[in-house]
Amino acid sequence: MYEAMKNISANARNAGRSSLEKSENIFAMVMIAPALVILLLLVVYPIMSGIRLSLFDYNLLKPKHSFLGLGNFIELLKDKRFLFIIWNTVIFAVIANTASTIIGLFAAILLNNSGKLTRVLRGLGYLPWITPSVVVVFVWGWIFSKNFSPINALLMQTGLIQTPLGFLGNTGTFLGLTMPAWSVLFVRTWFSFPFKMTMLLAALQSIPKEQYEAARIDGANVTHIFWHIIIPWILPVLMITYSISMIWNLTHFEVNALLTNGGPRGLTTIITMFITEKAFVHYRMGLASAAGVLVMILASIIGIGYILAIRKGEQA
Amino acid sequence: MKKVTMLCIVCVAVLCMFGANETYAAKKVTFSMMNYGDFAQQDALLAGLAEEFEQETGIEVEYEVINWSQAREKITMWHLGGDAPDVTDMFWSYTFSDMGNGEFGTRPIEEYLDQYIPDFKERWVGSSLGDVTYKGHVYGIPWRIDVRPMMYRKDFFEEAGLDPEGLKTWDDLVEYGQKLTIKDDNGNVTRWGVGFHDDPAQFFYSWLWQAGGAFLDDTYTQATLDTEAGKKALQFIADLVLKYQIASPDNWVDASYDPYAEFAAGKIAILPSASSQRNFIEQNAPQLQDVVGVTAPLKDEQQQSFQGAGYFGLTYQAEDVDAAMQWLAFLARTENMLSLAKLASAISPCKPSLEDPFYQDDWWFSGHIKALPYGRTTQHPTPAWGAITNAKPGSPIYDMLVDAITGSKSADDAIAAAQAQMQELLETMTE
Repeated sequence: MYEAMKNISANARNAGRSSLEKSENIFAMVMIAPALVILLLLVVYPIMSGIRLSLFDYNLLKPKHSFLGLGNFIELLKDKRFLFIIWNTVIFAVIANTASTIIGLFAAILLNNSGKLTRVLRGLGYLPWITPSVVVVFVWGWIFSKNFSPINALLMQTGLIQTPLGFLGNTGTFLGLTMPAWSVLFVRTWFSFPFKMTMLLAALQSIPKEQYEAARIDGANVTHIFWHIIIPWILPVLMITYSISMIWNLTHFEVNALLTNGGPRGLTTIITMFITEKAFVHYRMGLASAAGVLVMILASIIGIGYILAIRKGEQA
Repeated sequence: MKKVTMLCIVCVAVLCMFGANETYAAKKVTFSMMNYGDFAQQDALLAGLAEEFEQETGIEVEYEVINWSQAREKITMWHLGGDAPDVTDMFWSYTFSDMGNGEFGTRPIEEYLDQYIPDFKERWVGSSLGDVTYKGHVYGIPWRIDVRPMMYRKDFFEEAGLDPEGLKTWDDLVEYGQKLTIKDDNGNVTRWGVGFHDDPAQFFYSWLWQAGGAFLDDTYTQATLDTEAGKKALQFIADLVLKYQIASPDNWVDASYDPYAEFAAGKIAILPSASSQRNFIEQNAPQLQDVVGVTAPLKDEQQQSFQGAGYFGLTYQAEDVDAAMQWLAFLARTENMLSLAKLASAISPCKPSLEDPFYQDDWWFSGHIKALPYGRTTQHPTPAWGAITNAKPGSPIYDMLVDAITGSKSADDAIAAAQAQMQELLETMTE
């Protein structure tokens, strides 16, 4: 009898708990629903719509839009100009992202103290990041102009050069890239290093001081501290910063478009400029969407690589 | 009984309102114009014109000023069936009349011209009619026109002992360019004799036409770049840079190279095909007003230069064509054409208005007018036009000019490649 009573009581408790859990779940779903709907409408729907468009000959100048299957993708992968632009996009993304991460890391290490000057420098360090990109590019366009550049004026006045440098027009190569490509990379690096600096500075400030003190007692020098304390400690932040920034770099537009307009001779043209051209100049929305889908796949590979690396790290 | 009386009064009132509205609608014209100059000035001018027109005809004009940033989208929508004003300010008559396909947007007005503007062809600059005449129809009244004139530095000419009147042909350009190009002790050019236009396609049109060539055949479906005239024009442009070395190789190659800034800085002596620089010079380098000369374009086989014009057109959406044409005729009066062109700081294609001191006494317009008879329009006769003339790498005209002036391709090879690419665009975009 007692057992039966206990069972009934337990069942009642379970029923009560399950009812509570159910109502909590419903409440949670109701609370999540608006955000979910917004996410579906603003993120999932455009992505799905873009994927759908990429399978059609969707030309704004044509009344009928026939189904092409993978036709747009095949056309793109057969197009030498497109393949060159993809190569360009990856090269610009890798170099700009790596350079800005390295500069951001060293800037963060230099600014990782609480001096008054440091605080001022931190503020100044954010300037490139918070200045509108159009303004940044306009100013750099003037600095890099052949005949009005203050750099050229200085170098010529000091007798270091006899002929003004064509920062944005010289097609001779240095380390495999042209001077306009290096100029674009410089501006992109300058523009994006403050983000890396901010993220890595936050990670650096989370390292306990005891770690440094213990290392110094053990006789570690600056290089040892950098490789054996700083890097392992900030690695997760470094990885996520690099991955996110790589995705941004793959979809970058403004510096290449505004500084060189993709020139000279298409040497600084990147995928976003190609997509804009196909969509809004050639009105070929299907082909532009297919190029967009390829960029999405490229970015997804980086994202998946990052997740796998994190999981591997957690298992280790 | 009272209720029935009240109901009757209400019914009569409603019927009167509908009746009045019908009459009202028949006496109203809707009009839109892009924004030019100062908004308050434009509003005051349009309000004045509308009031004067209403006093004369009893027809009310409801006008709207459209921001330029929305102009292309709005005009496109009107031509795809959207609610359009009866009379409106437009451009690209060729493209949009094709887009409207005889159903929407701009409608031909030639059948009304004899009745409403009988002296249209005599009173307008001949070249401006090309902007509104397409496939045998007239699509509106041009009210502002812009031809690419030749611009030069009078002080440099004087310094070199050159007479501007002697600069007429391509050969003259080479001779003058050589005399005006100056180098420093290190061999760096400090002043180029000749400069190009910032828009490669607009630049090339003029040279191609001057050589006797054309961009497209009469059906607007076949590219006609790769001809003797085309090769000659491209070779000459390449020669200015590579052979004679009187034009900068940075044109279109270095994105920071702005021919107008270079000209204003005294680093270029002649711009044979220049867009209107009146406002730029008055605002940024007013001291140049005394030393800049503006005149007619060069001549090879023929004397021509690129031209664009804005026009007022009647739309298919206009229900009362008579009222709309009366308004169009009113706008087409010489004094109104002049007021509107003055507002936009533009040249009026209405010939009598060009006699006004506003043009005759102006340092820029007085020279610019000399280029008017030689204007030739494009007005985008194919939907592929934007892709063909896009001033960016990957577009046929841009790539052709850059390949030729950098010497990476011979002029013949560059023009053959451009012809093939242009034809492909024409076929893929218009099939």
